[in-house]
Formats: sequence, C-alpha cells, structure tokens
Amino acid sequence: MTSLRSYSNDFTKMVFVFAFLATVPLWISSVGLYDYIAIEIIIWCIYAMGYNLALGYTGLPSFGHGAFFGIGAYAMAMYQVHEGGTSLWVGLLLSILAGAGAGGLSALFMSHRRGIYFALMTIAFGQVFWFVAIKKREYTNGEDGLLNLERLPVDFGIFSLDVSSNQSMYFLGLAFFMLVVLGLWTLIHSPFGYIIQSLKQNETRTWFLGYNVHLFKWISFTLSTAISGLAGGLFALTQRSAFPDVMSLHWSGIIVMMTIVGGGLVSFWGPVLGVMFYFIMRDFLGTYTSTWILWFGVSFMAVILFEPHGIAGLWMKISQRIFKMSPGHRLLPPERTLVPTPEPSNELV
Amino acid sequence: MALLEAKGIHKRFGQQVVLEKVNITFEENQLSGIVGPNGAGKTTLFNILTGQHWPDRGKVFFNGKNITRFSRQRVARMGIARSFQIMNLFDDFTAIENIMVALPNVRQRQFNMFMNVPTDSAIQDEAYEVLRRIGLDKVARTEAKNLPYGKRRALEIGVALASKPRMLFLDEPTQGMGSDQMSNLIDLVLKLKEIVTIVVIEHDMDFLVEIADVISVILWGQIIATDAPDKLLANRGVLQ
Repeated sequence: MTSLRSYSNDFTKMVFVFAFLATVPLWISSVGLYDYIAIEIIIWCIYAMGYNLALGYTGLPSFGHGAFFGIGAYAMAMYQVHEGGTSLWVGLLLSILAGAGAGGLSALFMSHRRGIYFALMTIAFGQVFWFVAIKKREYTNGEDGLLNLERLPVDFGIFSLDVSSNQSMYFLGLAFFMLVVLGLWTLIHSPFGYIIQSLKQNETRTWFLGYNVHLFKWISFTLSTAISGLAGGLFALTQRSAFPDVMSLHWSGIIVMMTIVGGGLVSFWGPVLGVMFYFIMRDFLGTYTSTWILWFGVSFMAVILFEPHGIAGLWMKISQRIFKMSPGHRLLPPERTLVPTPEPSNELV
Repeated sequence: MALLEAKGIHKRFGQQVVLEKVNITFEENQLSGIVGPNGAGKTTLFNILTGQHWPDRGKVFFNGKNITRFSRQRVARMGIARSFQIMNLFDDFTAIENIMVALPNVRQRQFNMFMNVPTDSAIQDEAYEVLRRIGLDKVARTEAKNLPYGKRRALEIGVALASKPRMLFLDEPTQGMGSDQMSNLIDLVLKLKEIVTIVVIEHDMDFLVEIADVISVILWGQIIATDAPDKLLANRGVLQ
C-alpha cells in the first residue's frame, strides 16, 4: 500500500538522519572540525525545528524567537546559580516552562494579529525580554551573564550519566533532538498539524470550518517557544553560561535565516539543513575569511531571489523531476483504485 | 418551522446602509436562491447569516436557536457551511487534504495528537466519498493550486460539503465559469440538493431559475419579492 510505503519512507529518512548524526563524533575531528561545533549544531537544530513549527507550519513570522531561547538558557542558569539546583531534569523542565510561559504570554497579545503586525509584535516582545535580561542584573548579571554552570549529570535514579565531556553532551543533545523530531512529526500529521497548516494558507476558510484559529495560533506559538526554551537550556549547559546576546534581534534574525535558507517553509527537515549550512559556512568559510557572515547574507539573498524554498526546495524540485516524488514530500493519503460508482462522476473541467 | 430565519436584519458600514429590515426564511430540504444586482447586499446578508458579520439590529435563528451573535466557527460547528465569491481553498494541500481537514471526524478529534490523518483509513474513506460525489476523485492527490478553475470551484463546494452541514451557502458559484462548466455545476448542485438544504447567491437569474425552488430578490438592501421561479418571472415589477 502507498500509505505504508510513505510511512516507511518517512521513517527510513528519519532513521537515516538519526544514524548519520549518531556517527558524527566518530569522524568530525578527521574533517578538521572540533566536537563542540557538533553540540552547537544539534542544539540549534532543536531550536530551528521548534521555530519552524511557528514559521513553516503555522505561518507565524516571529522575529523575536531568540528571546525564548535565551529565557530557556537563563532558566537553567538561574536554577543552578540562584537555587543551587543539581537536577538536570528540573533544570530542563524549568527551561521548557520558562520558554512556554514567556511565549504563551506574548502570544496572548499576538495570536489575533496577522502578517506584518504579528511580526512587529514579536520584535517588540523579543526586545522587551532582551532588555529585561540586561537590566535585571540581580537575577541575570546583566551583560556579563551567569557563569560557571555545571553540566548536570543525566540522573536516572539507579544510575547516572556524566555529560561533562563534549562527546557525551552531544549524545544528550542528540537524544533530545530525536524526541523533538518524533514529537513534531507526530504533531504535524495529527489533526492539529493539519489545522495549523490550513490556517497558514487560509485563515478565513479555517474559521468557517469551525476551528478557533486564534487558539491554534496560540498553542502552536507556545509549543514552538517551549522547544526553543529546551534548546536554550541545553545551550546554557553546553557553554556553561547564559548571556543576553542570544536574545538580541541579531540572533533572532539568524534563526529565521537558517530556517528559510534550509527550506523550512516546504520541508520538515529544512531547518536542519539550514543550521548545518550556517555552521559549515561559519567554520569552513570562517577559516579563509572573516567576512563569512557577509557570504551567508549573500546566500540568503540568493535564496530569496532564486529559490525561496531554500535548499530543501531545490532538492524537491530535482527529486520531483527525477524520482516523481509526491508534492512537498508530505505523507499523502494513498491513491485509490476507483470502483465503478452508481452514477458517473460529475466532471467540472 | 423554517430551518433558518432572519428577522429585521439591519446593517450599515459607516454612513452606508447595506441591509434594512431584511426578513427572510429558508425551509429545510429546499434550494433557495437570492438574486440581485451588484451592491444590493447579497454577500453582506450571507456574511451575517454565516457569522462573518453581526447585524446592527435584527436576529438570526437556526433550527429555532438564536445564533445572531455566534462566532463564525460556532455557526460552522452548528451545521452551516459556505463557499466564497472569491476562491477560498487551501492551495498547497491536495484535493483530498482540503476535504480531510473539513471532516467532522477530524474536527471532533482536533487535539488528538496520536491520530495520523493521512493514513487513517476511515478518514480516507470519508474524504474519497466526498470527492466522488463532486467528481474529483480522480484528482485527489493533485494540489488545489494546480486544478483547473471549474474543478477548484467544485472543490470549494466539496470542502463545505465535507463538514456535513445541514445548510450549505454558495456565494456566486458560477462566477468566472463558461457555459459547459455552468451546466456541470447545475448537475452537481441538483445532486447535492437531495442531501442538504442549499442557499445560493447569484446575479445570474437563468442559473437560479434552473435550480431553485424559491427565489428572493434583493435590491438596495431590501428583499422586494420572494416566490417560486416561474411566478417570479411572471412578475413584471421584479423583472423591471
């Protein structure tokens, strides 16, 4: 059956990506990269996948998402520095809740807005959170940030895993990446996923099908910021510190660029491609020129001008031509062998 | 009792009065038409009856229940579906996905995270049945944006039909259609008439005469006549 084949295709792709990512620590140093970059990539992949739930699937152009990533990082840092917390699970739970709380609060004011008005409000909220992070020195230590965090062990009760090495930290990030991917994949194929994709395309029609569009936008944005908070918490652990710079407009813009360059608007895996493209440019091109960010900007402009669907969109075009793949690589309902019907179909040509 | 009844509907936008003391009823299992020239207030009336706008004065009753100030999604959930004058589809979805998202089975389980919509066989069966009914089963996996105009119009009706409404409002369904497409649309609407109460807005009187059981004429925001098509055509005042 086509549906089973589609299913297995999707899972094959997923297993392939996970397997490939699991081998990264084995070969990363042999290609001239250091293992810290692998952790950065995996954490930013989580962040970008979460961001794409808002941008790619729900059509919510957020330009202040860095705030929620930063809030997740600060939640982990404050838990350790101010509360003396030692549980990884509590720290990450706080990161998720802080991201979701801040995102949910912002979305209360934004979910009934569309397009440019929504985008402007995300910038405004992002700037407010960033400003608070800088000014509330008693909690955040201002621009100096919160330092000397511990990479808390992964405690399972009967045993615990140490993640102080970069390699083990990478595998912790990979485990969360896999959970996020599986969760998002399930979500976007559920009725919820179809409804948010519907409202992205046509809000009016979605209202008239009986769905509360504002509620779905609110939930989607809040989930997206919860995942961003999780990524932020992991990021704080990785760099053993939390700074306000990731909350800035600049870094909020970077996640938008990564997602669009990778092809998040048309592909589930687009954000992952975008993150890899960004970090590879930074580290490979960065060894030759200090102006690598200029070239990343140029590549972004090229994508907007020539292939708005990004790297994934380009690959789709090629694969549709060569392998006759289904539109958008989405999991589609199977084709039916049509049985004769009592009355002829009414053709409107 | 009428399935839907509007009493004393009054609506103005700024200084412009668009509807004035409109009283209209729609009987169950009938195909009712509303005809009038451009700017007569047809679409505004539709928007009020389907919850898109609220009237300044007057009340709307559906199945005896006052739905005047209901939100559009609440009106939809009660069993009133509509198509639009300007095409309103999910263009990036395939035809079957457009139908699937409109099914009550999906709506009722909108927060069920473990239901996989594209592989759920019950959902597929329902969606294919709707597509077969509107003659689009052969293009089920074609994206809506790649369908020809007539098929897109049919799909729009299909999306409204998929929600299993008690009442279906069609806003100028013949707009932009040639004569062949129009005759196919007449066949489709007549077929649908057997399963759902339909209200059609049109400025094409010939189309309405062919399909409607009763036609209301709207002019300058007021209903000036309501009658069977043949009687209406014999009414000199209306024809003028």
